[in-house]
Amino acid sequence: MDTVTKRLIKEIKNIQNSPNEQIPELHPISDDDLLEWKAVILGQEDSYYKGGRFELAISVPKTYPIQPPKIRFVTKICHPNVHFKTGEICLDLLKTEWSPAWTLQSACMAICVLLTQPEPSSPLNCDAANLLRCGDELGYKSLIQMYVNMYAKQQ
Amino acid sequence: MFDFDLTDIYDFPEEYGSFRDFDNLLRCPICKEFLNPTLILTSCQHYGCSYCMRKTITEMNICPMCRHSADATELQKVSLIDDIIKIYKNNRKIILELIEFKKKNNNNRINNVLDTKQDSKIDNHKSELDSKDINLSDDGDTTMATIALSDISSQVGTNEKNDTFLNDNIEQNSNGDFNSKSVSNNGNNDNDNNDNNNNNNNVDIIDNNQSGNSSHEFSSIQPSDDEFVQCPLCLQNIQVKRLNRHMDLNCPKESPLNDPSNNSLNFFMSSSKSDNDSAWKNKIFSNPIVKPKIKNKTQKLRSLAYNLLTESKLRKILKDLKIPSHGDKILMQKRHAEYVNIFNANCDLDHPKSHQRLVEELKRWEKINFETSSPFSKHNSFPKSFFSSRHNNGHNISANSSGSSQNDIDLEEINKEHQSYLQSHKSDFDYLIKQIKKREKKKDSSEDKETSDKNEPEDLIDLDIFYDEHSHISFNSSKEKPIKNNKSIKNKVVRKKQSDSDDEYYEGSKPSKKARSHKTNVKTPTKRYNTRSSHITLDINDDKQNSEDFSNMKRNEEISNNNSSSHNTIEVYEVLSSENESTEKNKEMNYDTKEHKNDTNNNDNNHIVEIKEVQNNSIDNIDITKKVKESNHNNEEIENKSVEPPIVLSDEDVIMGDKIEQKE
Repeated sequence: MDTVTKRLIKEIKNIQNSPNEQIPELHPISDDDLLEWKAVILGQEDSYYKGGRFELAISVPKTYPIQPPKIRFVTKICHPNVHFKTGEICLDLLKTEWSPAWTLQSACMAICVLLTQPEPSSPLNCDAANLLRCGDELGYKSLIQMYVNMYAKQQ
Repeated sequence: MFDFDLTDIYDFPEEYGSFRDFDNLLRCPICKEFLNPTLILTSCQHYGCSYCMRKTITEMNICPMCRHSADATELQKVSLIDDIIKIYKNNRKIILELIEFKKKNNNNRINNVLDTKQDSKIDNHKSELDSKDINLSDDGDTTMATIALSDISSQVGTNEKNDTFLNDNIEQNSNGDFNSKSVSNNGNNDNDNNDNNNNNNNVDIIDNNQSGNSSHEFSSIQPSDDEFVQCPLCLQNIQVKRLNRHMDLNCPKESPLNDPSNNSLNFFMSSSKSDNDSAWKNKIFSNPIVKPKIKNKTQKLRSLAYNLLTESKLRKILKDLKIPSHGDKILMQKRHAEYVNIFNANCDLDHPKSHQRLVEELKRWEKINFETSSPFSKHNSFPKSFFSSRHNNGHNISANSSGSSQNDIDLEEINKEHQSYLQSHKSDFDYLIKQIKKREKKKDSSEDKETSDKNEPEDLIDLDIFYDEHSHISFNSSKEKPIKNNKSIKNKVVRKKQSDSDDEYYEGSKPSKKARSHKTNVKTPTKRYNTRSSHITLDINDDKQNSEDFSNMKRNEEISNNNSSSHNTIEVYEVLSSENESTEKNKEMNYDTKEHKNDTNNNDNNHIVEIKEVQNNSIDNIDITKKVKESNHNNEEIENKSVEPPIVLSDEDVIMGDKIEQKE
């Protein structure tokens, strides 16, 4: 059995034993393919994404954990570092700053933190980033909340 | 079963958190398995498995934990941790069993206490106790007991458990036959008891009564000093010799609950009463003594500066290491880097694996990382049972898939691909073989005719299958009007549809075509032939440039050896029949050629070069052709007649085979 499978099985057990409130769902999409995962993260209470429920699609490369997993948003989200159409996430932890000691759970945690702490200097969503850079907090907040209400409302 | 252990830190229950931590410390942060063998980075003191650390450092040049820059030379082995892990792994199961047993025991005890509570008259026990106290003290015989009782009652007034326990004892002794044994049940004060109590028979009665209430059977036989007994007050397990002192000190916690190792050990000692437990004892105390390390003196491999190495040098290095040396430079480079990792990690092991196993591992790695034809998910398929047992928190998951069966699946896949390929192209193979046979026959029958030339337009069609893009392009680019009849065009279309096999035809056709061209030159030195031959001569030059290409080399040899192969005279007819060409068809041909160009562009850049060269050098080529012609004239045609066809066939077969191999 290859290393990636072993590692992912351990991670599944880990997630089952120590679930995270922020990440109500994190599991492989189907039992046959361990490399495609689905995750759901919740917007934190103190952020503008409060009440939002965002689905993530995780694609684990065969070289994991040496290479980082590919994570993108399935739910539409308005965030300076997330591409609005493709859901691509610009997060150094998922690219250059990845470390093999990280897990899928910790990667999802990093995304949760990214929601509260956007980095407008390297934007994928220029509109949102510009609002933030210009200091239009109110505009930024209402824009985000509109999209949360449109796409990510919790049922 | 899986070929690896599914243990993890969550095997330990939550209340034994320190065990989880301990377990976690001995695991690699990357693969999450027990460190095997441990390597530590001297710069930042972070550690991991040998392979994981080496892999991370070669890929990223950082420490996986703190992301500090790291180098493979900073890695150092820590055999102490390896020894600890070895022992821990052996005893992990025992520890888990002990914990489970302890848990069960605790549950039983709580239940018993609850039962006792219900039986006793909790409301009245205080007053009862007082009255008994007085009564007993009035009784001259039981002074010791009174002291003990009053002591205890003052101590345990707050402890409900102990209260009930005590109450129980007192009730049993309500007849005034009380003696100190009822309290300090298995105590060390035998003499005192005997002195103070004349009715020793009561000891048994009391013990029996107690055992009725409790699952822990206290035997009437006095335990030895070293054995563990349960303290009657706080229910802790305590050595007999320490019991008195323990009770004197108000039942201090002998084994703090946050120290599970201690707890379980005590527990183990207490449970050693039964015969089964002696087996555990043996297990725990018969730890395999760690043998002194014999240093593995195998020299570690160094990573290479791949940029400074040529492909052939690298290939030689791989060959010297006895690992597969196929593929291009990048593949070889990656393979070598991976092998260095595997090899060095293997060097760190106490019992290194054989070279063969390492090569197998390397091949598996390559298959996983560079194979695109079969989806990876197939390698990963798990029986549903694994996921259904997800919540069992169990490490006893059984499954059918294993490493070995995985290999079988791979082989099956390959076989399937082989067969499907052979089936889908069977007609082509048959056709080719048929053609070759036909040609041989024709050669025999029409040897004389060959020299005289012409006729047999059917053969032209047949041979067209060996035609290739080169010829079309050269015709087109040198502004000569290409000659094809309708049938040949049809043939080509058919060929294009078989997109995969197209290249093979192309490759396979080369030698025969060249040979044919020489023949052409010899036989018919007209201008038209010159253009045709100009392409071919160019082709030869091109071949010389690409001397690295194996097949080209082969072709070169063939050409130089068999400059004239007379059986190909048929080609002459084809070229000659160009006189019957029509301009309408020419248009069609142009279109056809363009498509071929696209194909060739995709497949091989050399083709583009050739096209250009044909355009530019057509004049020069005429000169070259003349030379070729001369040389051809010098050769004896008949001698080489029979040489060509088998070579063509074998060459094609080789290429076909290569293709199949690549697919694998």
